[in-house]
Amino acid sequence: MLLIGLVFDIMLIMFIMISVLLIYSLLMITIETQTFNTGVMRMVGLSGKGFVAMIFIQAVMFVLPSLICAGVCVVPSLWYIYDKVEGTHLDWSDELLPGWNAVIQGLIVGILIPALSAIIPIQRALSKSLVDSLNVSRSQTQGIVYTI
Amino acid sequence: MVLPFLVFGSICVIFGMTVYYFLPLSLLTQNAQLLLQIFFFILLGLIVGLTLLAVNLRGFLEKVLIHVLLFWERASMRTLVKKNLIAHKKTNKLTSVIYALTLGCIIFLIEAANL
Repeated sequence: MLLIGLVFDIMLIMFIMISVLLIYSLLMITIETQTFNTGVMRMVGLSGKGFVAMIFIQAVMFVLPSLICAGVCVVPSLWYIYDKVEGTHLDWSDELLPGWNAVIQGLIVGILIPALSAIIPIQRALSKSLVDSLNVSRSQTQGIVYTI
Repeated sequence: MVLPFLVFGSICVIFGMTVYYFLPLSLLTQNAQLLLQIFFFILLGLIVGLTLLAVNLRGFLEKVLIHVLLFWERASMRTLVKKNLIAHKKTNKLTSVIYALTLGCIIFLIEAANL
């Protein structure tokens, strides 16, 4: 029983790591391609806080469907597990609803993933100077690597 | 920058303390909970460390793949592809890390299911 818990813990951590990296790369690509748009927004008068909130909301948008999906899927999957493990057909009861611990844990993971993955993209986007991001005559990707 | 050295040093200190103090302690006191927790961190470290080791092979693999898959192209074309791969090095690196982690996760799950 302890070993199964261990395997589930490792699975959870691995999935968190993979999804953080995935959302991080998606955000980075968005920021690299949308440099000009964000430059225009900042020029017009978007504040730093507003900009951070924009990227964070974008990260949350990746997580939101999975949270909703988890909320919908939890009841049938709990019913299925009870059916298979205990062998009893349950009618509607409180046991089919997740406990408070499970709900809070899921919510914490759901906030942790976008928060972790948005840190470096926000830093990168804010560190770009306005002149560089508004410059359309030069390509944003560099094809030359300097080694000293 | 001193921060990476500090982080690596503290990771090594924690690793040494776990292996040389907490692991024997858990065996002596027959504390299965602590033993499994240590096991958990060692497994996580194994997966992450092997992934990071494997990512170092990426540059070499890229060169080999260019020569194997594009052997019929002109040398100038191969150089062009190489330059493009260098230009997108960062995203390639990240993708390879994600891919390696996912593969490691799947292999780990299969092994755990076989146990």
